Amino acid sequence: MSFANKSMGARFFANMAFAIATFAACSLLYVPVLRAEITADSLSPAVQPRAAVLNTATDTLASSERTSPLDATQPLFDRLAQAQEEAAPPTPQTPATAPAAVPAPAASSNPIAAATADVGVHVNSMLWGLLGCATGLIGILIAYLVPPTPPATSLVGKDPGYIATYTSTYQDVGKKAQGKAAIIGCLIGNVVGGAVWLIYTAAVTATLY
Amino acid sequence: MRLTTYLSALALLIVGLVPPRAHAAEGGFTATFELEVLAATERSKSVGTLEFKDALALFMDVTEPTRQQVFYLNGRITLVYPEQKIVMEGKYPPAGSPLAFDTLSFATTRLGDTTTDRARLVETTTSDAGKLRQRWEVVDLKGKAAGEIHVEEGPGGVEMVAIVDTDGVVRRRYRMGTRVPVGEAAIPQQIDGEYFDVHGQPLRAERWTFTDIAPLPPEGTRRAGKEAVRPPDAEVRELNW
Repeated sequence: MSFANKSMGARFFANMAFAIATFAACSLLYVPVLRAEITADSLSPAVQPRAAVLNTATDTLASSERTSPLDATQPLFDRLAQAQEEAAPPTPQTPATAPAAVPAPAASSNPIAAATADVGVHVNSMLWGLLGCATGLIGILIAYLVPPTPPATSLVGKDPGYIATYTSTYQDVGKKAQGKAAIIGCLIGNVVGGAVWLIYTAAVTATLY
Repeated sequence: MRLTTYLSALALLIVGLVPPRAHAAEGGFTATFELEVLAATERSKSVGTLEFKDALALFMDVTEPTRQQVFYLNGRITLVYPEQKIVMEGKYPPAGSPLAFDTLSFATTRLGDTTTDRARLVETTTSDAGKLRQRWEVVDLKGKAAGEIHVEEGPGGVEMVAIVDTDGVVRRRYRMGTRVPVGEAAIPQQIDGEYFDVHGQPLRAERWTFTDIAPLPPEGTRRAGKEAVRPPDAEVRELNW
């Protein structure tokens, strides 16, 4: 490649340096974010122990189902119930004369933890990633403005106070998850766009000079 | 996660993870229900009666653990607490609410209802137990494969539906139990909804158990498909839904 003059050559290399720097910066940013996708493993600390128990107890299930989704014989519900029972601490034996022990609060009594976990199940991070990739900042803005809809079955049989906390937490956490996915998509779009721009610039520069 | 996985899963979620079309059994059904939810932090159980007209028009009278009435009509949900005189109303979400009560929507699903217009049958087999199995490939708007829907049908109707992404990972699975004939339909006595993440790790399981399954009450007495009945002096709260 030859350049007509020094200034053109300097401009080309400046463009190259800028494109490479953009690519590197985006890569450094989106890789750790992408790896921190919302799964049961990245839930709040209060959620992690129980989620880990469930996942460990069903590792065999996940691997076997990848090839034959209709061949799983035992329903997931039964396996999760069994895993939860095995993970629960043993009930201490109390003497007959002792006062009745105060029952431990049910796991579902914590609407914040439940909402945080449900976001990982229901929020469509893929869709928001594509939106961020396709529309950039507009997609990110929409992701942070449009609240996700909590699962309806999580509202059945719950009292108004629980539902108010659950739904508000779900939407707050969900909007953050949506926004994160949109940012990831936006960064991916920028990386791809930067690479295209780099190639285009190099091609044009080489052609013209 | 690889980029290709990310994008293909995205396509699946757009075109594949949709509930079946809301075909109602002739006249719907009513039943006593028990809903159990198992998740990472939650294990809850609710009991009550259900009036199911279709997946977009249903009513629940919950008796345990909290007295509550659930009116769900065309994507709008209203929760009524008659004893506390509180009403919580959820607005219509901007894009509708296609996944509300998705497990319950399989109560009246027939074989053809489990696919979308953008699915093509790629394989039909018979299991060792004599069940008919069909594998449908979901395609996006450009005709590119975006995932699969696996369906197993027994003599009584659809028994299992699995939604699989392009990496072969099950993302959702629905199991229907033994069916009871109600009118022209056959209603399962139990429906399981199973939810998995992109790695196939189980995240959540729901189980609906029905007893006393019967045809829907006559038009004048049923509450499914009707506007919510609010106590006259109830406090109305907005539901973030």
